[in-house]
Amino acid sequence: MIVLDHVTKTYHTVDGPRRVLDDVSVAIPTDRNIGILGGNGSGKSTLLRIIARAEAPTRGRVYSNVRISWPMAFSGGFDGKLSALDNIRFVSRIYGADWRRVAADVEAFAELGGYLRMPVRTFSSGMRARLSVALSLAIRFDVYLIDEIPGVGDARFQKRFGRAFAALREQACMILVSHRVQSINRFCDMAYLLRDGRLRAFDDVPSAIEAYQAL
Amino acid sequence: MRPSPTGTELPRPLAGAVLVQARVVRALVLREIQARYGRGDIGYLWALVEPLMLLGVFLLLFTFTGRRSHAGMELVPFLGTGIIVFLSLRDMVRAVSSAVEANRGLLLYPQVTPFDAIVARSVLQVATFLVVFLVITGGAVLLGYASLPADPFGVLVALLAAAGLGVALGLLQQALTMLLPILDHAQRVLWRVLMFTSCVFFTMKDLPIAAQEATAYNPIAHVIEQLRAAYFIAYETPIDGYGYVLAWILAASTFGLLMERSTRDRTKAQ
Repeated sequence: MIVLDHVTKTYHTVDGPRRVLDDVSVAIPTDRNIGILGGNGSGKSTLLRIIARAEAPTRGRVYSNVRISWPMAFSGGFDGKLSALDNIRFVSRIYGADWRRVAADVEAFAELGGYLRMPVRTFSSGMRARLSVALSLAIRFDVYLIDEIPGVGDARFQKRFGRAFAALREQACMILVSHRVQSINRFCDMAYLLRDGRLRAFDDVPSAIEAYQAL
Repeated sequence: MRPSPTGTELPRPLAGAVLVQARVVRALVLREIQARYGRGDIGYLWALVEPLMLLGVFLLLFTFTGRRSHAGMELVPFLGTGIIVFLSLRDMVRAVSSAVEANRGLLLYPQVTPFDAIVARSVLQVATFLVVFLVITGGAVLLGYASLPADPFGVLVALLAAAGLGVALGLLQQALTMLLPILDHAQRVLWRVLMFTSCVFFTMKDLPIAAQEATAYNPIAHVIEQLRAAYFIAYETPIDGYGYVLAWILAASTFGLLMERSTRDRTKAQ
């Protein structure tokens, strides 16, 4: 369970303060896959960073009794100059995991072969995505925070994410943030709609999508 | 598949929090070393090559004018102390002041804070500084270009004061450029001026009184003078103690850290 208790987030922009999250109180279950729908710039990524505790709310608190991943962006999050192995070492160290064990797990799932020792900037977007999923999978979290899944089309998706994503879904739950209804529809069991700083819960995905498309 | 080995992890006692920060700083330091070596250029060796090149140039200039020593100090350690401290300070200020910006991508990991990035770079630059000093002066002693320091403890104190000053000035510069980005250009010019006003290749005593008074405002000149006074019996500096340097270290780091603290929210956000 992840609990947001009166969470408000305000950014100072050139146009003055902008309230991205407005007094959000919600208990997010962590025994199923959660989708968060919202338009571009609605504050989805901010919400994800606050859940991950990568960012502090302006007001309010976040509680949880589960191990939560960092907010995963499949395109980035790695230092392109460093090899995949160096990136694996860094992430393992900050989570206090044994990097040899993590590297072995990543090798098993990312299907990267000899590329593990190459700089990440030489990777295709699919390889980056597989590295990202496999690494977070190897660190072992209860809940994975995912900021948009690119290219959900079937054959292509399998090629990009391979076995890693299937293993992730088998092992844990995810909170998926997206502005595309297809990914939410395909992967999530319930959904929230983020709009004007407010979070509205829907027990079933189709009604969330309906409300989102009505906006 | 497999159950997660750890359940709740986030609300930690203070000791646990310190442990996490130590883990993060260590990971950042190792990562930075890998990044510098992995670039394909000479990486860390540059920290050694640059002062050696500058030392060579000044040695040539001094020996062409027929000098074997300067005010009773052997030329190599006299120039070496000034050049190593000056270049290391400059590198420290650069590295510390750009630490947060350079590691922005890593702030997405919840346990990595801007402060960790600053600490990691400070640790790395101070260690580099001490190693470079040890290697160059040690090498000069072994090759017979320098005698051992007269007051090793005094040398250590001066080196640590230089390190503290470098980190503090780095924090100050980061805060100032955050307030006024144009200062980033100004500091480049400033370092060129400082090269000629920090007692790098002359001593405070070489200067006329009026110039001595002006130079005494420069804290970098203070640490170089103190280092030489500790290294050589023959040299006595007109600088009196570490009070002025300490005041700079305290004021600059307090201001820098307060600025970091007050803008942390924004720093983490982008």
